[in-house]
Amino acid sequence: MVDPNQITTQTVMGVGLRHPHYREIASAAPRKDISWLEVHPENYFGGGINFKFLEEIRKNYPISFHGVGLSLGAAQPPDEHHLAQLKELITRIEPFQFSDHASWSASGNAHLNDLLPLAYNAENLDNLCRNIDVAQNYLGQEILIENPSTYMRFHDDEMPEWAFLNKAVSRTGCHLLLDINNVQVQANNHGFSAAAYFEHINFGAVREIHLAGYAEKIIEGQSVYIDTHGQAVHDDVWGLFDNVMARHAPVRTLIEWDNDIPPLNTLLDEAAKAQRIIDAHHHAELRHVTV
Amino acid sequence: MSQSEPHAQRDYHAQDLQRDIAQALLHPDAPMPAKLTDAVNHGKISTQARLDIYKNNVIGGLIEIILARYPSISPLVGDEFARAMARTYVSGHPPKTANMNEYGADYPAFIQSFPPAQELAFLPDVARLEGLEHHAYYAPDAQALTSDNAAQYLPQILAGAVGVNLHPSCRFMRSAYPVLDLQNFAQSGGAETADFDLDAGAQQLMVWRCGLRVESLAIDEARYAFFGILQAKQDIHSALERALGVDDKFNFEALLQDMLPRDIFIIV
Repeated sequence: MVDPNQITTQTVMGVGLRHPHYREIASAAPRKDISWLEVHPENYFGGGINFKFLEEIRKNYPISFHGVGLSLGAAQPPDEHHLAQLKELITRIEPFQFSDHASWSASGNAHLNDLLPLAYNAENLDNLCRNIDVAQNYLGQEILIENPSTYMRFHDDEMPEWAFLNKAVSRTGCHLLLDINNVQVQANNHGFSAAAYFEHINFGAVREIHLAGYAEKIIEGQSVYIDTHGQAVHDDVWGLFDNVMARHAPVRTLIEWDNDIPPLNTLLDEAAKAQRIIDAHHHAELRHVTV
Repeated sequence: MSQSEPHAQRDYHAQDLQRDIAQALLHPDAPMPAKLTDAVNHGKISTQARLDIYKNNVIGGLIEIILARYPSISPLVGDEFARAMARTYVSGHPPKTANMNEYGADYPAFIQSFPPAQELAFLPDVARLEGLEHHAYYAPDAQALTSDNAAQYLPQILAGAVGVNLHPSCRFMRSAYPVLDLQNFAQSGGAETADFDLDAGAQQLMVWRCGLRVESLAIDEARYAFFGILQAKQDIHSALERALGVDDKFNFEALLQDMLPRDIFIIV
C-alpha cells in the first residue's frame, strides 16, 4: 500500500470510492493504478454492509474522508452527534485526512443535504472560522475546506471567494481542497476570471485538487453551469488543471463522479489523463511531494 | 483560535437569511420574503431561477433518497404517484440530521396517513418491509453463532449460563397481506397489482443481515412468537414456552438447523 505520508508525483491520483465499485475493488488484489480512494464518511455511519466493504478496502488502500454534513458555513455550530459519529469512524478507518465544504446545509433542525451558498462577508467568515475551530478541536486534526459551486451571489458580498477562503486558512490553520471544476462553474455563473482566482488563491495551503464534470443549462436565455458530478471532466477544466500544474507542484488530485456512475475503468481512464498532464510538467520523476 | 474582523452594519443576519432560504427551498409555493429577494444579487438570471436550481437539487435529491430506500413503491403505484407522494413527504419532513441513511424512517407511517394512498392499504406494509431491510443493511455488526460452535454453546444456553439474542440487524413484522410476495412481484417487473392476489393471506416476516446480504423470510406463527420473546427477553425458555403455546408441534431442533447457518443468533 502507498504510504500516504510519502506520496510522489506517481501516486497523487485518486478516485472517489462509490457503491457500484465496492465489490470490484474489495475482491481484487491491490491495484497499482489506484493510489488512494476518497469516501463520504456519512455513508458509513453506524456500521453495516457499506462499512464492512470500507473496512476491507482500507486494508489495501489509503483512504481520505470527504464530508458533506458538517455545514461549516452555517450560522449555527456543527452538530455534536455528527462530530461524534465522524470521530468514531476516523478511529476505526484511520483516514489520512478529512475535508468538508465552505458552505452550509443545516438551519435549525432541518438538514437540506446540499451545499448552500454563503455571502462572502465578515459575519459568515466569523461563523465559518468558528465552526472550523470547533471541528478541528473535536477531531484533533487540521481539516481541509473545499470551494463550493454556487448559483447565487449576495449584495453584501464584501470580498471575492478566494479572499474569503484565504482568510479562513490564515485564521484557523485549516488547508484547502481546491475543486477546479467548481472554480470554472463559479466563473461562468458569476462572471469572473478563473485564471485570476488561481493567481490569488493561497496555493501553499492546497492539499488536494478535485476534478469533476458539470452540466450546462440554459436558464432565462443564459448559460448556467450545474455541478452535477455526472460526467467526464470537460476540456476547459482540463485546461485549467494544466495551467495549475504548469505553475505548482502536484498535490493529491481526485476524480469525482457521483451520479450516473460509470464503470471503474472509466474513472481510472480519467485519472490516467490527469496523470499525463502532471507528468508533462513534472517529468514523471519519483519526486516526493510535500504533504 | 481565529480572530474576528470588524463587521459592517447588517440588519439581515446569516441565521435569518439561512432560515429563509431553507424555508423557501422546502416550501416552494409559499411567497418568498422580500428581504431574501433583496439580499440576492440576481445578476444575469432572476432570484427565483437561482432558488429553483437549489430547490431542484434539494427536493429532487431527497425524493431520490426516499425512492431508493423504498424501491418497490414505484413499481406498485407508478413512478408519477410515487414521486408526488415522496415530494409531499419531503416538503413537510426535511431531514433532521446530516446522516441521510436515517432519512425517511417514518415514511411508512406517512403513507398510511396520506389521503391519496388510502385505497392502497397494502402499501404501508410494503414500505415497512423495505424500511426493515434498510435498517438491516446499516445495523451494527455482531459475531453470530454458527453451526460449528453452536454444539459447544447450546448446553450452556439451555442451562441459562450463557445468554442468547438475535443479531442487531434482526427485525420482525406482521402484515394482513402477503407482503413479501408482493415485494417480489414488484421487483420482478409486475406492474399491475390487479394481477396479484392480495387476499392470499397474512404473512409474518423476519428481516436481517447475513454476511454482506440482507435477507427477508416469511416465518410461521410459532417461530414469530419464539423470536419475538427471545429478542424482548433474551430468555430461551420463555421463548420456547410461548412458541409451544402457539403450536404444540413447534420443533426447536428444526429451527436451529434452519437458522444457525443464517447468522441470526448471537451470544450475549
